Amino acid sequence: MRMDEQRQYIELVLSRVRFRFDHAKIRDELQAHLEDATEWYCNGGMAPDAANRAAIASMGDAQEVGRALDRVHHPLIGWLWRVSNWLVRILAVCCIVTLLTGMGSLFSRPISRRDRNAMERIIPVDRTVEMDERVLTFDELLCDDTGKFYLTYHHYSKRWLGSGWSLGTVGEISDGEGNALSAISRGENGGWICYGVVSGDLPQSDTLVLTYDRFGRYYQIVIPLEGGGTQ
Amino acid sequence: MKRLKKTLVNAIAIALMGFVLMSANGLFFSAESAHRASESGLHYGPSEVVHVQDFGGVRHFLCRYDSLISCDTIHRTLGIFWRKGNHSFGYLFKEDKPMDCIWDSALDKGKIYGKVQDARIVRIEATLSDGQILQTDRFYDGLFLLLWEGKGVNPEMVRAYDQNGAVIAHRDFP
Repeated sequence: MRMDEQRQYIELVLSRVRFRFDHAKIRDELQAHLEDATEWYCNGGMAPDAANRAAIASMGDAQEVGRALDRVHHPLIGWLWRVSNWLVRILAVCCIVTLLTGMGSLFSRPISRRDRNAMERIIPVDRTVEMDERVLTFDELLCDDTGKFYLTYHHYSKRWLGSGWSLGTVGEISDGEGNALSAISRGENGGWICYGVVSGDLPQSDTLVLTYDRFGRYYQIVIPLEGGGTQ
Repeated sequence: MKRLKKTLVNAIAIALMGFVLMSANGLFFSAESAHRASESGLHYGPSEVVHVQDFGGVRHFLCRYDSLISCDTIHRTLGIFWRKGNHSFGYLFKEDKPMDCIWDSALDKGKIYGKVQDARIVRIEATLSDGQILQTDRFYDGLFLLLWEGKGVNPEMVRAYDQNGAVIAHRDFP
């Protein structure tokens, strides 16, 4: 009987609270308040039924309490909070996946460390060019013992976490006398920092020249083929 | 108030993460920004936009960069964003022809764009493989653009006519 009266009171209060998702939490709080108040009156010497009625009366008019709680648990704020919670969780997962995917390129190399260390000669290049939003650095020229060269490079976008088109060609390779050489370019794309390599046959001349001249963009890298050491 | 504060914090977090995801996935709020980013990502341009046309949920930018003509297609994504499409690079049309053009298609949308160099040409007509005939008498600084929808549809021939209906130039696509 006592619990029925308390339940009735709580349900009357909740009937004024429009945001239903908070009903369970409000119900628990009101129940706890009523039980505490009833216990207090019982400890004061009241009979249980009288204590129960006194506890309910001390909570105030159910309609007024409900209206006040409805203002605190406003449905618009409630829905905004719930939807934003879900959006934050979904976007956080998407961001983590995106960041991890971008980071993958950091560990990818077109020439393994072992192969690099086995090269006959390593000529440092360390030349950086900027082309639109891209920063491109030519790292080293590696020469193996079969007469092949490998020009390594890496690039990244100045647009933060920028996702753009693949780099495409890094330029035309020629020898010191301007004779075009056949070369193959391969590399990663789509990560934060992407690595690539241009490879071909070493010319007889003493320099290797990389020239990029397209659509108003131009750079030229001249690499002396003498010098360089081994690892 | 506590819940309102939490919602505001969520809103800031959503804005920051939204920016990260937009940047990482090449999404833009405006088609023009996507077009510019597409060109600079390819180390091309910036081109002069001669004409913009919407068709079937994509936006075409007919452009000129030096003597190169391009028709960059920008796609709408997720309802409110734009992302780069295809054909940002320009094409060098033959100067000795009264009319020259190329075509491209992606998914179920196609385009023919070209250049006219003969003042007599007043109309361009394209016949597609599904029997459609597209026409235009609108020229934008000597350039024209024809668009269509249809999976697997490609152009068979393009004709340029003068005001008397005589064929001044044609291009066949085998």
